[in-house]
Amino acid sequence: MKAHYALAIFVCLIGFVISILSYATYRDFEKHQKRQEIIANNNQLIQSIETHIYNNIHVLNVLEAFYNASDEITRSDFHIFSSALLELNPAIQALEWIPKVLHSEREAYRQKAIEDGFHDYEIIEKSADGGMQVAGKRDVYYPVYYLEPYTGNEIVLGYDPPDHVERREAIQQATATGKPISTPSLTLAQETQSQKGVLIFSPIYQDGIIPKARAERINKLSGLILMVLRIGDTINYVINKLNSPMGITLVDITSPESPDLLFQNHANVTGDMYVSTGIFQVANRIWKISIYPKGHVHLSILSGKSGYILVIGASLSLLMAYIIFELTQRKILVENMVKQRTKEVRDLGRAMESTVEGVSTINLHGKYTYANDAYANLLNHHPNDIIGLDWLESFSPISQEDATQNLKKATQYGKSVFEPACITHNGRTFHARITLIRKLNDQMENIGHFCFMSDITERKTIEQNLKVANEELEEFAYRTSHDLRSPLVSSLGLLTISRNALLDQDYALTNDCLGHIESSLRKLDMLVSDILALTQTKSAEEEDIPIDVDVLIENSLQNFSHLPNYQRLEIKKQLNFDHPLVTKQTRLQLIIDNLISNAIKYQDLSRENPFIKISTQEQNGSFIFEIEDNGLGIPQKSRDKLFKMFQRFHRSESYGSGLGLYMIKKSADIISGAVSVQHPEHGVIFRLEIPLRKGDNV
Amino acid sequence: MNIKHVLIVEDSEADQFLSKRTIESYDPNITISQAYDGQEALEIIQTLEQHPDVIFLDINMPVMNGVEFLEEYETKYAHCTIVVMLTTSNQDRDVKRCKEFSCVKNYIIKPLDNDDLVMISKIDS
Repeated sequence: MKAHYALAIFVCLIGFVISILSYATYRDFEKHQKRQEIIANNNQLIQSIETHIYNNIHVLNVLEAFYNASDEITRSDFHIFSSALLELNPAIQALEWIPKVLHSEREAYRQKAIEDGFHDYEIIEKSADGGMQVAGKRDVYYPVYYLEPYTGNEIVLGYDPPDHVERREAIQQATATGKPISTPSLTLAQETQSQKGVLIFSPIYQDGIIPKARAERINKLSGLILMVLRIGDTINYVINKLNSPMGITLVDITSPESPDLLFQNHANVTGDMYVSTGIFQVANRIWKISIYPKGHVHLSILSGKSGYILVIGASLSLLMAYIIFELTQRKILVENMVKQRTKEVRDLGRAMESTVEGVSTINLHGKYTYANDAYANLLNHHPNDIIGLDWLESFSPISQEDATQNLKKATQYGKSVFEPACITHNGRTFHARITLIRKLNDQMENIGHFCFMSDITERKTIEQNLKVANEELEEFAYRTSHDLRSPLVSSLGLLTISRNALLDQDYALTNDCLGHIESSLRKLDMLVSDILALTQTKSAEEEDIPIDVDVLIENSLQNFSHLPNYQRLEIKKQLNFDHPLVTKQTRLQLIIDNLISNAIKYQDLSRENPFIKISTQEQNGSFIFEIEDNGLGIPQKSRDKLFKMFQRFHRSESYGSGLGLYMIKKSADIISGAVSVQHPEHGVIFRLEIPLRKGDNV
Repeated sequence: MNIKHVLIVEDSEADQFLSKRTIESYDPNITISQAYDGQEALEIIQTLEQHPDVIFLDINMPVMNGVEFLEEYETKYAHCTIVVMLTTSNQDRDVKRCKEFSCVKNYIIKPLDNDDLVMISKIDS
């Protein structure tokens, strides 16, 4: 039982493990996807920012080309051109024109600015107290001369800080290289917030051509275009435009040992996982941009498809465990049931093997397919030898038709019972009660029969005896009613005639009638005597006593010596049995009396030398009494009815009741004797044989 | 039917005597033949030129009883004399058996009397 639970739990656990593994795998995949997605977004953002910055730088190129292509750019020209460019690039704080002004030209420039409308224009620098003051005398000035937009930037017009190292170095480097140069990040003079900015200087040379030699470049410099770029605004512009939620860090890594943070809207807290970086050059500076999610990237445990996988996997595992549990439960139930049924069937089989009732199965061809011991024993066969034999062969020929019919009946109605004569392997016939039951397969098709057999020979014998007894009783009742009444009816009729004859004084007729009455009544008397004797034969209990058979025979002959024609007979005696015979005297006497009187009565009167030969002897442990005569004998056709009731075989010579031989037979049965008859050419021989018991012939 | 010749088949001397007396008193001109069993009756019939008009037949007789006689008689002869069973008791099984034979026209309980003979004379042969 526990093992079955274990299986369910094991399957459940395996299911869980697989679910979790699948979940983890898919979750990794999802994470990877998420990262890819973020990185792609990041890269796109980097691309946008880079493009935007380049676009801003490009403004510088355009303005540079504008300068190089023109002989003279007036303040008004600068205003028109720059304001158009600024409109497109709002992150540019300012575009400025910074001419290279020798001290000798300082005043001329001032005058020109005044002419342009800036009445208090001066080249200025920062004072010690932090305010602005007119710049001191220098060989060369780099003042902000044109400024766009002016509004918001007024403070720097004319500004030329000599001690602004980054500005000075950038101007010198730009002049010397002929390329745009950016300052490191710095806080702009115009800055109202805390964002950083850069100044990018682009040198403009006389004649619009960049001289090849470095010294020439320094000499021929006419001025520098300055672009003031607010880094925060530049990046925010892109962020706002793309509505990006990402964190951005921009670092100037021109000198790797001291990176300069240019911009950061959110510190990176996610590690390197979701960070994308880009490096690009802005003028002479190298900027590195990092893009990353602002917060931690969370994939909630049950979110996405991996969540489904986990939930469904776990549910399926539980379901599977439940099903397995149920199935095992059911299997246990079925197994138990099968065990029990198997036991029942085995018990039944054992019972069938050992039952006294013969059991066999036969197939549709009428051949045995199985027989238990009892069945085989009934047919005097070994159970195995019976298989394959023809079922019909088990029946006596007189019962085979009956068997065939009953087999059909069983096939049709499912069951049939009959009582045929069966025949054993060694040819002995016995009576059996057969029950045939149709044998069906699972599809309810007939596949043969069960044949149950029991030996009912004993019962049949009893039945037969009972039937004979019953028939005898019936015959007895029938004949007695006839034979008892017959003489009475005759006598009554004769008496009527006698009375009338007497009235007519016809004495001869009266005499005749009385003679007939007498003989009728004598017959009646004889019949009644025989019936009484017979009743005794059938019912009386009598003790066995030692009898001198010789005396019995002599007395009998003496008693019948008065019968008619006795004197004609020669009586031959060979009485060799000289022991007392222990048996029932009345029975023995009845037999001997009847046999002797029959021999006397049915003598052949036409024969010259009639005789009766009586012999006794001991033979094979039996007492033998034989009486032979040369009388009328028994007619051929009546011999089979010899020992039956009310049989007379001779015409008017016989005046017996017809019960004599029947009584002999019954009496012989009672004393365990046997009466047999032989029919020589003339007359008859009756033989009585009584088995001697130990001590009879001492 | 005018009865001229009867055969009495009966093993009892007394009954033979009684039947004979009754027939003689009914019509003294009737010829009466007597047999003491079926076998004897067949022997007598064989010797006759003409079958008797009526056979009075007992059932229980030695040697050959009434039924055995009827079997032999009907097998042997195409002609069928009127047979009247004359017996002591009215046993169902006897009546039933005898009625199987077409010759048997009547079944009379002993003793035979005048009325029986009158009735028999009215049977169409």
